[in-house]
Amino acid sequence: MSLSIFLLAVPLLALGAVLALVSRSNRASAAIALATQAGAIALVLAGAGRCLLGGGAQELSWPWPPPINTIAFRVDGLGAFFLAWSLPLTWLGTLYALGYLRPYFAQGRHGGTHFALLNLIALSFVLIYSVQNALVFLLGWEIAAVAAWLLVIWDYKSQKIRFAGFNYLVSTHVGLFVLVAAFMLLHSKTGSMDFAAFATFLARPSPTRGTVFLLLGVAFALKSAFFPFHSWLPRAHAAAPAHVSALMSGVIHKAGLFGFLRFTLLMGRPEEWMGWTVLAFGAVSAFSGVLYTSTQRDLKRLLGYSSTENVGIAAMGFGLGYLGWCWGNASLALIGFAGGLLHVFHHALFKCLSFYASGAVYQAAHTVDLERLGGLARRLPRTAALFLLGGLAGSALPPLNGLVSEFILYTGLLSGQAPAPEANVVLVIAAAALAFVGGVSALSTVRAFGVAFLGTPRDASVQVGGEAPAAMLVPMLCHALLVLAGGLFPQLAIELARSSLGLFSFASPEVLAASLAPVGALATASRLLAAALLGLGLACWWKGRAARRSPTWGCGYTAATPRMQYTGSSFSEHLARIFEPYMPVSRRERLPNELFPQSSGQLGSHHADAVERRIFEVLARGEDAISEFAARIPAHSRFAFAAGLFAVIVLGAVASGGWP
Amino acid sequence: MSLFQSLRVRRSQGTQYIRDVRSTVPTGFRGLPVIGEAGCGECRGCADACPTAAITVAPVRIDLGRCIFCAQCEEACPADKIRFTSEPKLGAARREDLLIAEGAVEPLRVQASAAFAKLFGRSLKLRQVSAGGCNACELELNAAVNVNFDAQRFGIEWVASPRHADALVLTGPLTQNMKEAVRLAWDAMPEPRFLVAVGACAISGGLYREAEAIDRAFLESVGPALFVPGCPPHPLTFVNALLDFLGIDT
Repeated sequence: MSLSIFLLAVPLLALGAVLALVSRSNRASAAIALATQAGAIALVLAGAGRCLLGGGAQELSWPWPPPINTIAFRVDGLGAFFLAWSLPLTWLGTLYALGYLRPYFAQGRHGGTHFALLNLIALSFVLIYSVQNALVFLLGWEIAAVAAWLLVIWDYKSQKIRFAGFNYLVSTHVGLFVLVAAFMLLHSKTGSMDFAAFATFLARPSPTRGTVFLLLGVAFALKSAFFPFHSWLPRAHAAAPAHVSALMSGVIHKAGLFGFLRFTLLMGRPEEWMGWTVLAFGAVSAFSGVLYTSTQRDLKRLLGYSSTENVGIAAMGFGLGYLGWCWGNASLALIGFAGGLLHVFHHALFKCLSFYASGAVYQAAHTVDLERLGGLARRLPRTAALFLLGGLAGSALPPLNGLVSEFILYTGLLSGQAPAPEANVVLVIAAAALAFVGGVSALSTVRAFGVAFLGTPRDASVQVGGEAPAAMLVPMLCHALLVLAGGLFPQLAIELARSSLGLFSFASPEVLAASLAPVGALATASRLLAAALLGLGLACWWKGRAARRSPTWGCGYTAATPRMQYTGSSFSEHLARIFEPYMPVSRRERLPNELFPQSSGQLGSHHADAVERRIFEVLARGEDAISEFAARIPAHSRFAFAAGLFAVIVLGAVASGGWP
Repeated sequence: MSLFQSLRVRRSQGTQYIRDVRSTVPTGFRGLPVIGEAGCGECRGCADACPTAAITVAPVRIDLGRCIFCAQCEEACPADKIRFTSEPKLGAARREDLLIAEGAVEPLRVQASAAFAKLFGRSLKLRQVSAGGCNACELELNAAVNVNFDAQRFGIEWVASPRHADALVLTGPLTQNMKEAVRLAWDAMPEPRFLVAVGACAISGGLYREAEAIDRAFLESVGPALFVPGCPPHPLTFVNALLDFLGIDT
């Protein structure tokens, strides 16, 4: 019964989208979107809230014309967990959009489409997180993908932004093809598009199950921008408005991880190779993502790579969960899944905060190029504090929420509970990789904050305006409070995830409580640390309030210019040099050559994305090879050659049993 | 090196440092001048011989803030009225204390500052700025912390940044090119702080007091709390002036 209340959110959001689209004034559109989303949140929580509080799953199925036959909806703990924060965060993003797009509205731009699309994003969450039918799942998936694409190209007049949007559209559809392939494979084996039917097939190990696992893995990895499927992501994040980047990175792309968990639950106990694959994949993703954050010039590209890093960390948790499940170690499995799930949630909180703060920077300075910014802390003190908070949470520093989930993962990775000593060694190496990721992430945060907010302005042509309006500050403040609360009261987030963790067949409340017990100690330590930091901060403020201000001591040098400051590139150069084979750098330099040089020299370095560059290299090489080969075929027999190739493909398909 | 070996080396080397910097008088040093009470008549030989106009006549007075201790006056005086002793204690906390009157036999006294003594009596960090100095003063200041004079034993040390310094030690006549750097260094110092003017150039401009390239506006706005005369001053002059100023008894 309550599920039909829940599903009322879908027509409500659709109605809101239509009204926002046709409404004349931008304010009215925004108000409609906010109101309908708030209504949808209330409906969804009324319908799904019981699942979160430990109630059972709720189901509902409707007859539907073929080929769908019936659409089943089922809200269980996992869906309710994702819904519980996805919709409110989207609401905050919509509120932020009202402030962020104000300069465009002032120029007469109509924003109805934008708010309608934000409503559609919320609608897609309701579908994806509750539906039990693969075709409707694909529908929700596609709504989210296309709406996100349209949101990204808000500034569609710029060719660069259209290109980035197109890049995203192609990438997400490559992922869709793989997902469709997986569903077709499942349909061929079960004759149904219902998840329940998939579940009975996936429960038994078979080679097809492995193939489906890999296909789904690739599709969800593309959605969540795992390395090496991430190259579209930094472009899209740099091009999109800040709230769209925030929602994509923090909320929309979490659908990939949701899909992964959903099919994990359908599949039941996995095989060990799957666990190792997921763990390694996550570790590589976290490692590569965080390395790229250290060299980015564009603040939003940097945050985009950081998403790749954080979904990698979450996947490491899931990999650990898989392994614990295979080994029959319920405690280890719960630690892994709990750590991963909480990291998904915590990442959404702090990453949106960082993106919103970078949006406030863009609003004020009209650029997010680190090498052109500087000294923003004086002009935008609130944004500076909020950006720092988000960055520190992302670096897993206490007493903020990012540490909680990584701490849970550390307790699992370092517990030494693997059955084989070799496996334990690998887990410890994974923990070391996680520590490395945290360290480099802290470096990137210090670099971005130091270069953009400290020092003095680097570029006189950058005119910095005022602090962000309330519509932007309020969402940032909400996120900041949640980030703090997540660190000081980690049990709250665990309570939120409890019912999703309860879905795993091996889970029991006692084991869950026992395996997450160290979090209590962490919470106490975090609170003490927070109190100490607060006291210290107040003491410093009290002591320094009468202090005389004087300029930075520059050794009495009177010809200093802002160009003499550390740049972002120089800050990370040492790290970049160590990992140069991994992060190729292209340098352009013209050094002064005579004893008394007549012209000044120049030095520029640029870190390209290695994956993107390799893809184009390989494509170009393959194209060359094919055209060379084609040129060698005599002109008159080209048709015969094509026919022969076709025949080979058909015969091959028949031979491999792919023909019906 | 074993303990015994190092003790043996220590014994063979002996100790080099000056045990009592307060009462040691260096040999061959031209220090505090003494003016006798013989009559001068119309003679202005000493004042005319003085390259820095440090001497006024009738009665004869020498301004140690200008004196470069060249002893031209001693040579020029037909009555041997002016005589330079080897007394190194020449510092003063007030500019007027640097005037040596006829017949004065008492050594100069630095008026101790109770406030600074309380703050810096155990640890005084100094930042040096050479504002057009010739490096003579700077060499002697450097010597104040070498093994012989060893000012560190009293907690007096040079530091590399004005951010860490309690006092700015200024040498040189304060050229235009250095005026901004001196001001920056002074502004960069945390309070409480004080200024020490070392050498005739810093105290009065010395030989360059009328040069066009100097700009002493900084010294007019920030008065030195301690004057250490000399050209250059002996390390003992500098160390004793600081010890007296901070009321450090050894």
